[in-house]
Amino acid sequence: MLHAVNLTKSYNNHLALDQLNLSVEPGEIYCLLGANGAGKSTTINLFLNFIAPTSGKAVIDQVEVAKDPQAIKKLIAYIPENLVLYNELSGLENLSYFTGLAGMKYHSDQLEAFLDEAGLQGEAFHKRVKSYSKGMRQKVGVAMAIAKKAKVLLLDEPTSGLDPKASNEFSELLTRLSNQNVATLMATHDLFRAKETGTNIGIMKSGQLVEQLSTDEINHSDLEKLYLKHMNA
Amino acid sequence: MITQNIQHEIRLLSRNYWFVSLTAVLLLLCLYAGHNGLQHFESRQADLNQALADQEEKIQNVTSVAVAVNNGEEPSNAYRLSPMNIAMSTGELATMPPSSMSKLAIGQSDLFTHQVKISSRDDQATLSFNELNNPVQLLFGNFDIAFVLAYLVPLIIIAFTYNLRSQELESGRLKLLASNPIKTNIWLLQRFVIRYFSILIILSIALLLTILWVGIPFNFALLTFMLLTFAYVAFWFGLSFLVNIIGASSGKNAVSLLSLWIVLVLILPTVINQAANTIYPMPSRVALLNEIRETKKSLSEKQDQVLDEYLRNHPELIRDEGKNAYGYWQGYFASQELMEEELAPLIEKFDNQLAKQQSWVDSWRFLSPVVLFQDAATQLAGTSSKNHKDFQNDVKDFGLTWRAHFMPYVFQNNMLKLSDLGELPAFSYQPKPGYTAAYINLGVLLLLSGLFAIRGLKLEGKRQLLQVG
Repeated sequence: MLHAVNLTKSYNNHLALDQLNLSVEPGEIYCLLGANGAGKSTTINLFLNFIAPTSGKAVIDQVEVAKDPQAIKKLIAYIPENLVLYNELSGLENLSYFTGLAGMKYHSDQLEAFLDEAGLQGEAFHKRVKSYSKGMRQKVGVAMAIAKKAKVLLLDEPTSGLDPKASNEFSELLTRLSNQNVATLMATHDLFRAKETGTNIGIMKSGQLVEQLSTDEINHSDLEKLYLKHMNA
Repeated sequence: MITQNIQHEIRLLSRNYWFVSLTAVLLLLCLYAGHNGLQHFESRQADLNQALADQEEKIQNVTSVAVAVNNGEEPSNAYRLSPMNIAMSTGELATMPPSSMSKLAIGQSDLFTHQVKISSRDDQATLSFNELNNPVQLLFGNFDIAFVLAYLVPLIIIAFTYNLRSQELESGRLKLLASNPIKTNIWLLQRFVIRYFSILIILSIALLLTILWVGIPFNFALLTFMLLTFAYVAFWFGLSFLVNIIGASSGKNAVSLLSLWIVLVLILPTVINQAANTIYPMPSRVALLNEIRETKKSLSEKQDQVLDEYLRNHPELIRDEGKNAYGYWQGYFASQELMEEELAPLIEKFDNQLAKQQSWVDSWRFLSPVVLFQDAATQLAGTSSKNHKDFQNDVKDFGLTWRAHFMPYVFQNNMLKLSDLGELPAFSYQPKPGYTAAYINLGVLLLLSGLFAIRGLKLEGKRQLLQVG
């Protein structure tokens, strides 16, 4: 579903991403781990076509992202670290606007059902987003992905700053979506969440993917050791 | 996408207290400016009415004398029927009545005279129009509707558009938006177009309320004024759209747009006008006045000679009684024509320089949207320098007609009869609304806004969302 083929990005002689190769199949949750500047967000931005690759290609559903970004964006949903919505609008109104931009038309009861499915409390639907916590805003982001019927979910440190309960709820939502065959690529610093939620883990350092493994192959403690080993190398 | 964006913008604007407050402020500004325009109109109308009433009284007095003479009476004030008295003392009042559109754009009407007493006492070439300098230099004038539209509305547009893109980018929301199958250039253009129409609706309501209040009839000139306003607003939206796309941050956009406002609205018109004064300097007015005095003095000293020369040129005015039949007044009237001939080159020099200045300003007006707007608005209102120049020319032409009418009476030494009073030349000024200039300026404003939009669309369409530089 989602493939990086020798994907490379450099800025003014600085190599942000170096010959990245990875694949995420439907139902998989691929967690990219790494320090700041390792190239995780660059990878996500390349799959979103926010930046152009220097060489190599990002492919989603057999279509090269750079060649037909509009077609690709119909398939993907994106949740950044801080999901900034329109503060003066309610969660429902935000969802209505963003799904409208995605070309989907829903009645308000359908939109409410998506918010409900994403775990947002009913009384918050019509409240202005400026009163929402970060966790509530992330749930609106998940509702967008559900409403958009996204095949690919791109997440850039979505649980950063969430309390453990909200973070756990978010992980459960991801698992539910992956059970519906959504392919997820998530950049994160959270080793625990990566091991709990992910199906595959990739460790990045200085723009390179230095380790790839299945979460079934490793426990929490060994994952931490492996991660630190790469970081200290 | 357009439906979503319309609904979205309406929601955002209706919940934006700044927008709601500024709408109220705009309405108040328009009403206050309309009030100023109305006051100016009424004051000018009252001046004209007073002057016309005075003139009517003079004519009534003369007519009553003529009626008495006609009835075979010999009134003591029969001298009032002398051609000299009627040509010089009674005279004719040339007026330039304010159009109702002048309530919207006072323009040059408070700088120029709008009523002139036509009298053979003055030489028509040097009528006391005091604008023998470039009138456009006083563009920044009254607080009227045209001022609100030309100077303040662009600031309101800047306030509501300077960060439409940058705010989304800085907050990170643009990435969320752009993760959807939309083209950000089209999305941004739609937001601008929706805001343009929002401002247009508010502005139209404010203008219509003002127009109804001050009492301007709905006609073609008013429709053109409204279209001109819409084109001017479109120019500023187009400029802001381009700056939004070129600009890097909200702060830089705001500074850039305000700098452009200062340059386009304040600096360029001043520079254009100052350059006109520098390149085509006006000859000294003191020198002109001295020349007029000298010519008058010299002609009065040789009035007999002047009269002889005049009669040689106008043999139809010679009476049989011989040279002794002519006195002071015949000499006076004859010398006026000669004086005009002698002063013509000097006056022409003034007129030429003024025409060159005006032509210079006209050719460079495309550099500044505010000059384009003001020029067209005042022409539609009949208060532009061109309208006043037309009035001056009509007055000068009529002055000559007026004097020529009395020449046979003066030289035949005939008193005017009751029937002659009905045949006196009457002045009438026909305003010529500058529709052509207005539509050219309107077209240029629309063209510029279109070019800005196309350039912006291309720039935004070509670049990556997170492209640096």
